[in-house]
Amino acid sequence: MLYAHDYLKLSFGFRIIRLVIIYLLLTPLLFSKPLNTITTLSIDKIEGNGLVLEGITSTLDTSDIQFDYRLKIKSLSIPEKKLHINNINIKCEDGVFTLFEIKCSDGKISFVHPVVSAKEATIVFSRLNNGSLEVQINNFEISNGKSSVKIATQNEHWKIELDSKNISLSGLQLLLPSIQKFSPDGRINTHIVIKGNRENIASVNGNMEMKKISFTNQESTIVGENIFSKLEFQSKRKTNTWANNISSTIHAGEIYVDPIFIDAEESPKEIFGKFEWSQETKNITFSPITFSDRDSIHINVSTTQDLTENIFASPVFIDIQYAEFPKAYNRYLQPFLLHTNYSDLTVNGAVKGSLKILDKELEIAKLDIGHLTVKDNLNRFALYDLNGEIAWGAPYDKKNYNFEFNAANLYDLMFGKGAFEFSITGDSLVLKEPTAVAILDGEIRLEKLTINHPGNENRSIDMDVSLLPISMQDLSAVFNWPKMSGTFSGYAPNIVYKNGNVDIQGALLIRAFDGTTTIHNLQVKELFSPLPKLFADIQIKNLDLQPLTETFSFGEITGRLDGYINELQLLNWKPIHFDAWLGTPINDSSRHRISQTAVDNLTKVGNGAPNIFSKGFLRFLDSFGYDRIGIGCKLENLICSMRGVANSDRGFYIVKGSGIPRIDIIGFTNEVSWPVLTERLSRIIHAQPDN
Amino acid sequence: MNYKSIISSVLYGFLLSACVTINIYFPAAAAEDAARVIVRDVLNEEVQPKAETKEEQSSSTVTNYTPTLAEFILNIFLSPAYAEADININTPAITALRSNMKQRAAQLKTFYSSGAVGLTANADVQIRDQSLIPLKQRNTVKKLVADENRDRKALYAEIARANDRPEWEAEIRATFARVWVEEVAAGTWYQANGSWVQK
Repeated sequence: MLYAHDYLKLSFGFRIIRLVIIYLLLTPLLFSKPLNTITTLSIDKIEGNGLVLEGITSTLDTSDIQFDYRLKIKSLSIPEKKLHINNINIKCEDGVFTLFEIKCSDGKISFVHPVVSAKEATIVFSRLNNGSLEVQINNFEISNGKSSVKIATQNEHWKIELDSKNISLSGLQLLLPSIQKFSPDGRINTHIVIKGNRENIASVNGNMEMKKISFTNQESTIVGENIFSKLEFQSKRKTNTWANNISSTIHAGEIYVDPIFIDAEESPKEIFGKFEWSQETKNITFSPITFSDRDSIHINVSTTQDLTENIFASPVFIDIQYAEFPKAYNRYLQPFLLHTNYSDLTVNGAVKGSLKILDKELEIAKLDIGHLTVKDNLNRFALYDLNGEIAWGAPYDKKNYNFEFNAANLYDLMFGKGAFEFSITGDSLVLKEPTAVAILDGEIRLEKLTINHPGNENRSIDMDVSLLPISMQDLSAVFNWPKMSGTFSGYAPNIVYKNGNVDIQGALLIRAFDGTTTIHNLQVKELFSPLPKLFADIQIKNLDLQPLTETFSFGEITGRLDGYINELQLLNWKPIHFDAWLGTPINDSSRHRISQTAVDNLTKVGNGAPNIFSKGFLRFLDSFGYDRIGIGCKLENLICSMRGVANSDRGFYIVKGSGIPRIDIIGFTNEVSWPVLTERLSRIIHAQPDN
Repeated sequence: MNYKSIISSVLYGFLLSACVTINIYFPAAAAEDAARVIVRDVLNEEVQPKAETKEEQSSSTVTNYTPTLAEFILNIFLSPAYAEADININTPAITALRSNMKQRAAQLKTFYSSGAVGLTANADVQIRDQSLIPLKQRNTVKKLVADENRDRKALYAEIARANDRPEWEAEIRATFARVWVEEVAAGTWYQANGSWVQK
């Protein structure tokens, strides 16, 4: 990885090296003498312009138009850059010296440096009398990679062509300090052409083939392993800006850029496009850079970011050419959703569109959705076959978008088709026309629906909902309750969903057992958390006990029931707190009879002795009259504090009998463990044959 | 004011203040036992009878101690409040959370062993060194850690709630923090005084 600031350092280095090369290689010209002479020049030290040369010996043997030139430099160093090259030996035995040209066709060069070194490299150089110079060094090493370089200068311009094979990246760190923090390893083949003038590097073009590349930063948040990749690049200076064009294919290996994991074995990844880097402002501009993972996503990213500031402080525009699911979710979305309720989804379908992200929040979005199915793997929610367009943000203000889904579910509740037309108002989606979604054999009618701030953490949903009657029979089947008759309906003029919490204002009405059950103050907290909580107050009016006891296989009781379940709290859909009462309404004129089975079962509920009718004459009577029936339970801390229609000496009346023979059922245990009580009820219900 | 009235005033005042300063103490020993039961269950360890705790030792040493009059009076009024209740951990929600955590523990075990994941000082888990996790598994481990912490948060809150003392959540968490460290296998990393330490 070669950064712009590396180029600058290279530029400085090349400038120095160029001066040295020109100076030393042209020594024959400077010291040219009449034929057949040997000239030796020794200098202990030359210092200037940050460059130090020590132990210089230059020998020139000229004969006719030929010359033999030897140059030895004990050390060349640029202390500021910590660059030290030792034992430089240049030998040219068959140099030619004419009026037009000084040329060395088969020279030898050797030098010692930890990264760039030459043992028996060849050096070819020529200088024409028009001032142009060409130097070519073959077979030297850059970080253990065989390399050759060709340097050409003419007038103010110069060009360096470097070819290297099998450069070790780990060894290259000394030369390119900026890559040290990534501890790179692996090999690269490269061809680089650098052009410049007296002042600057003008362009850097080239390609690289990377083999078995590994790298990691100290925090292990940017890591690559066994990467095989090809890179082509063209970089051109425009005053203080570098305009770059890159094209890269990663066809093997693994990359982790926290939190994204890219496995090139699954499919090749391509990155290509243009970007600009300003040395002056430290701004980087993608215009755009494309990332393509062929079988999952193809996106174009456009942005200008100030790298001295927080990255992402400026807007990022993402043009989604396509996102194919499930791979797009598994590879690129899920890693960002691990701490949300959407971290474990199965997603199918496709999406394309455009996004604007500002300060890590989705400010503008337009998504074209095709056959998208989103299913929570914990079975909390699902949307099936979602199609249409959805958008929000200023550019889409006052525009209308439609989408529809084929089915949905919330926990075990299944919904049918839904079709929605939204009008965009600023950062909100407002339902344009009321719509209905089927639920079991009824429907939910959405009179109003507004989705606020869908792109950030303050997102919320406001709804005005009517629930048209659902049969209790279907609802019972969904929740695995005993089969009930009747209907469930309601009107909630203001349902607010925010941060997983649902507040429902209004009332839901259950018409079952010839009476009504009304649910008020319904709230669900942390709907998708491991422990969802539900709060409600329930009023029960005039239930007919005969079908009720029949439904729950409790043994027949006739009469009516009123009651309430106040301060109901469910945790993970199981009751943990309530104050409940079910009892004969005051002034109830209905027929009050209780069967033997029901008496037996109520006795069991009160932990009394079972089978009380097994002996004696009572066993010949099927049912008995009663005056009042009633049972209450205040559940707290898994203890149910029970009460009845009246207190007795040692307990409470669950049934106060009437007529002859008269049967009273009296509970003696005021406090019952809730798990024990539910276990008893469950045993009673399941012990009876289904009616 | 004679001595009698002074003494009776002081005594009334004392009794009155004793009546209004009744505290419900966090049942530390019971909470620790409860935490140990859950932690061992989650980590799939057999629950061993707990060694005698310091509190139990100290209570046995005062068996023959004769209380002072003031202590006697205080005991009359305050002893019911001092009685440490058992900690209830048998609710369906706790059972469900324990089951989730138990399943997850088997997956996390490898990463505790490698040192990739450690126990935090506040009874959560945290990725300690992600360089020890193969790249392909990093997001899986991140998800395990996120899910585990979500369940742990719910567990500590639910134990406090199930015992009708939501305000105990922090103390329950602190108790679990200690017990997790005590019960995990040797070699596991945990946070102590802001640094990672290997058990």
